[in-house]
Amino acid sequence: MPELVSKQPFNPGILQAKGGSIRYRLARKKPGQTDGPLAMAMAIMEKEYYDSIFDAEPARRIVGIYKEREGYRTYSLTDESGAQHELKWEDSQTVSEWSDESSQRRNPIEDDCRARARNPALSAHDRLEALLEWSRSDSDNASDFILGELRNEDAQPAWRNAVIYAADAVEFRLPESREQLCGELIRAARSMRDSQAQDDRPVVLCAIHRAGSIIPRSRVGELEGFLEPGGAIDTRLAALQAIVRIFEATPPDDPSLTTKIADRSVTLATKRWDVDVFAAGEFSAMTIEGTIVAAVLGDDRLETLLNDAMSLGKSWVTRKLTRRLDEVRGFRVSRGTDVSALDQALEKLKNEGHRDVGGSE
Amino acid sequence: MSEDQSNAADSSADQSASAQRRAVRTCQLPATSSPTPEANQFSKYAIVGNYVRKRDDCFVQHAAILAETTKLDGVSEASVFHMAPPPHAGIQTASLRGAKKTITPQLVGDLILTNDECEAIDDWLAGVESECASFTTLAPLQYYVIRPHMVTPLSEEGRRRPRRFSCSGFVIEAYREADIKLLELESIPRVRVETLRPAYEFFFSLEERDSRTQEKFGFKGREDLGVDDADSWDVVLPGYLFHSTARATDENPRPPHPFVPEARHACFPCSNARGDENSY
Repeated sequence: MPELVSKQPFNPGILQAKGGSIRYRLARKKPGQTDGPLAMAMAIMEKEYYDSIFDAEPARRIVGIYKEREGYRTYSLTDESGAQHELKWEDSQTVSEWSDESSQRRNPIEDDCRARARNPALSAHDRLEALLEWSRSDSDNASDFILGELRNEDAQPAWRNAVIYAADAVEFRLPESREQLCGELIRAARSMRDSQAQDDRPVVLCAIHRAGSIIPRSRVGELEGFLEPGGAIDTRLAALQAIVRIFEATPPDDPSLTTKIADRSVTLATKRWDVDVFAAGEFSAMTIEGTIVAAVLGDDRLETLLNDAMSLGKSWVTRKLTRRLDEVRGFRVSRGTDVSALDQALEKLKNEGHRDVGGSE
Repeated sequence: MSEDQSNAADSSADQSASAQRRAVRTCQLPATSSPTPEANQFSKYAIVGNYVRKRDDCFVQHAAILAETTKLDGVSEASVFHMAPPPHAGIQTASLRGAKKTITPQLVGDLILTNDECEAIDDWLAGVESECASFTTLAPLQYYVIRPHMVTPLSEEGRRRPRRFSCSGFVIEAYREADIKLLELESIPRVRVETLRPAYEFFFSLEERDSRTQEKFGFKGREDLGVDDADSWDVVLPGYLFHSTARATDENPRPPHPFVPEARHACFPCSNARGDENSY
C-alpha cells in the first residue's frame, strides 16, 4: 500500500481519485498504525473542481491540481479553510489494485457514479444523485444495487428513504426484479408506517405507489393492510389509488383474490358519502377512489355507492365520478375489455346528474 | 364633515372595497411599497403568474394557483400550489426537500371560485399530492413536461404512473376539475423556439451543459419534454391563462367557451411595455 504524504493532517484514510481513466486507492498511515482506512474520501479529478467528503460531512468544495513529477503523481488539494493537502503516491498503484471486477474497461463517469452511490461516507442525497446517474447508463446493475440496499436492514433512515425514491425513478426491466422490488417496497412501507418523522410520510406513500405500479395482480392482497387505519401515516388514499391503477385496464381474473379489498374499499367509501361526514380534500379523494375501486373490480355495490354520491347533491362530485369512470372505460375499450357495467354506471350518473345538477356546463 | 357623514363615507368606502374584493378581475400587480389595500386581496386558487425577468415585454413565464386567499402587492411572496418542478400540491409535497412553496406574483387572474369549485380543486390537489409523494427535487425534469400540458407515463407493467405537468398544465387541470375550461386545447398556436426560449431559458440552457449537470436535473433532451425536432410547437404558454380569465366579468364570470389563444397572448397584456393596460 503506498503511503500518503500530507503536509497537513488529512483525515480520510482512503483517497479514491480519478485521473482520466485511471483510479488510485491510497491508505494513510496514522502514527503507530500500519494502514487501515479511517474514513473515505473521493476526489473527482475532472474539470478543475472536486467534490470531496471529509469525515462524512456534507460535500465540501476543494480545489486540486493533478500533476506528474519525478515518477510520482502528485495531487494538491486546497480545502475551504485554505489548508493545503499534498498527496503523493506511486505511479504503479493503478486501478487494478483497488477496484473490483473490470473497472479498467468501464466508462469513467459510470465508474464514478457507481462508486459514489456505494460510498457510505457521502450524504444520502449525493448517493441518490449518483445512483440515478448510474441507473441511466446501467439500469440493470443499478436496480440490483437498489434491491440489495432495500434488503439492508442496517441502512440509515435517510439512505433507506433515498433508495425508495430511487426505486421509484429507476426502470426495473426484468420481471423477476420487479417481483422482488414490490415485496421489498411493501415490507419497507409496513415497517415505516408507524414513523412519526415527517419526512417518512411521502416515502411510505411513494413505496406503496411504486409497489402498485409493478405488483403482480395475483399478489394485490399484499396491499390490503394499507387500506386499514392505524399507524402514524395514513396510507389509505395511496393504497386505493394503487389498486385502481392495477385493475383499471382489466378486471381481476380471479375475483376471490380481491374480495377483502373490495369489501374494505366499499366500506371506506360508504361511510364517507354520508352528507354529515363528507368533506373535500383528502377525505373526498379517498371516497371517490374507493368508489372507483368498486368499479374497476366489477363490484355489484357500485350502484349503491353512486346513489350515495349523488345524494350529496354536489355537481363536482358527479362530474368527477363521471370523468374517472370515463377514463377507466377508455382504458378498457383500448384493451378490448367488456365495459357494459361501466356504461350502466355512466348512464346512471348522466341521468341523475342532469336531474340534480341542473345546467352545469 | 360631520361624524355621521364621515361614518357614512367610511361605510361607503368599506362597501366599495368589499365590492372590489369580490370583483372578478385579471390584472398586473405593479410593485408597491405602500400598504396593500384590502382591494388587493385575491381569492384562494386565483391564478397568479410571473414575468420573465430582465425583459419588459410582459412575457409570462410561470403560472400557479394561490394556496389561500391572499393580499398581493407585487413584491411579497405568496403561498401557491404549482408545478415548480417538482410539483407542490399540499402539505406532503411541501416536506420534500427544496419544494418551492411560494412565488412573488406579478399578475393575477381571479375568477372568484365558488365553494363547489374550490372543493373540486381541493379534491384534485389531494389526489395529486398523494401521487406526487415520490417527487423529489432530484432530477426534477423527469416530472415535468413542456408539451403537451400533461402526460401520464406508464410503468413497466403498463399501469399509469404519476402525471407530468407543465406549469400551465397544472393550472389547467386544476381548473378543469372545477369544470372551468380555460383554454381550447385543440387550438393552441404553434410557436417557434425564439418565442419559447424566454419562458424556458433554463431548459434550453441545459442543452449546453455537461452531461452530469443534465442528469442532475433529469434533462434527457428536448424530445423528452415534448419539444422535438420540429421548427415550432403547440405549447400552452402561461400567458394564455390570463387572457382567458381576463374575459370574465362580474356579469359573466364564466365565459361559455374556452379561450382560443394566439401566439401574441404569450404576453399579458399583449402591449409591449408592462403596465400599459389591465393594471389597477
